[in-house]
Amino acid sequence: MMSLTSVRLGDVVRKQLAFKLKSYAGMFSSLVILQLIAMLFSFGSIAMTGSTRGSLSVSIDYYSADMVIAFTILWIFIHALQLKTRENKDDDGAFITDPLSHNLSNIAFLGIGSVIGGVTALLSSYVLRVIHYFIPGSSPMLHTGLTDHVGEWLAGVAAAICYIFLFSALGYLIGTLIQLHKAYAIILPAVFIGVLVALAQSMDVHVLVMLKDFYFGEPSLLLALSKAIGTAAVLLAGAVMLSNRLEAK
Amino acid sequence: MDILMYTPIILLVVVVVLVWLIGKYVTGRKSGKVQQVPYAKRVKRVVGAYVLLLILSVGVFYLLPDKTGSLAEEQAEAPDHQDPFSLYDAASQGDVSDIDKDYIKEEWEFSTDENAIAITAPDVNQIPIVVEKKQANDDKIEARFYQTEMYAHGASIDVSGYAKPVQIEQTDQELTIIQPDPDEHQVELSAFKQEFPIMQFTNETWMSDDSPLSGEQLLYLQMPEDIKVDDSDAALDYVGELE
Repeated sequence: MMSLTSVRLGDVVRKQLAFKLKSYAGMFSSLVILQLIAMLFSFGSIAMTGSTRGSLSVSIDYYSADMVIAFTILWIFIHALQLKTRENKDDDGAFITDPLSHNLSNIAFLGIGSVIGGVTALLSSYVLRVIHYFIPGSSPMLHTGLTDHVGEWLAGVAAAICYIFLFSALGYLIGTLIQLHKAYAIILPAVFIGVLVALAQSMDVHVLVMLKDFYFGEPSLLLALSKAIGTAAVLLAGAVMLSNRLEAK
Repeated sequence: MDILMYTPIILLVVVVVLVWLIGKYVTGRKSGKVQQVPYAKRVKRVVGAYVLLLILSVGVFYLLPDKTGSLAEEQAEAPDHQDPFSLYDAASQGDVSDIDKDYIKEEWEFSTDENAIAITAPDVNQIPIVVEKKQANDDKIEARFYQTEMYAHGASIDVSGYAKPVQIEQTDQELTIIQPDPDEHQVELSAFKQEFPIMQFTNETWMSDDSPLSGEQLLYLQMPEDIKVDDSDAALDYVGELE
């Protein structure tokens, strides 16, 4: 039997989410601007390959929309961080609010941001191709980098959304920690960089490479999504628990 | 011509201005805190216009004619000769009669009554030069330039027409092989790679496995039996002396 409380929680979260979508709408216009800037940077080729046989030489310049995805990840990370650090309690003032509904609406908001960011980032590849095609003097474009099936593209979109959501969860947790104590704004990056350097120098363990392989090197879609969502869930649960502690203070 | 360099910037600025103008046109101006909702609506429309642009670009992309088709008279078909056919293998064993006549792109014949000849090929690279000593002293040097179909990017684009044979010049005691300047026969292509979240689940590698350029060229020289060849300025392979 569904309890009256859970219905109320759902309603409150929905109302808060609707409010956030309106009051933080500027976040999405910044996404558009950031992705356009990333597209501009993507017009430079990321790699070149070539071969010569006698008098004939062929060179192929490679392009990619990876930078748009990277910028989108950066975008959500910063906004997730700001969601907590610049949080104004009056934001949700119009509604009866508690830490749980407040956090849930934030997470739902980040989820929506991740979906919009992921879909637009992967679609931007086609804008790059079309613009590249019409640039006068541009070299003929090979039909490469396209997926054979819509399913493959959708799998990529799902993965991109989950990765973006993962970074939003990380930003949200860090934001919560900073809200707990401002000193974390300095301590966290210092500890992070310190640990990275120490592990690399003393034990030859390259954490970033290991993390990259763990998440982005996973060839199974199901496992890759599970890893990203699982980690995001852990990070968000940590943020919610810290938030509750903060509230109790 | 320098303005071409700025075309991507100009095109993107146009896109940004268009998205901005659409947003401004459909929503009007925002002033004061009271009009927070109209501001949200404006953003919604800007993002909507952006998403529409992205979706349209997918359709436009698939409607664009393939520019690579203009490189060759006809799009490449699978090569007649199944790999691992090799001009070099056939020539180095002296089996030039096995090589398709269509692959002969140029033939030369030089007369010589010298007992010795120097072969120089200062700038020739990636073109094997195979020398066969004939069974007779007919005072004739015969040369043939062979070339298979040349494909760019695996077997997708036939660029055979861009490849030019070497030139051969004869002086009294010297045969000079000259390679045309590669910069004058350059084919430039561009390719997009899959985005990393897609590539993770497909078999595509970071850069294409397909060779940027495939195909073979070879110069085959037939020398009179007793002529002495000075090959100090050229990398020559002799029929029968190869593994």
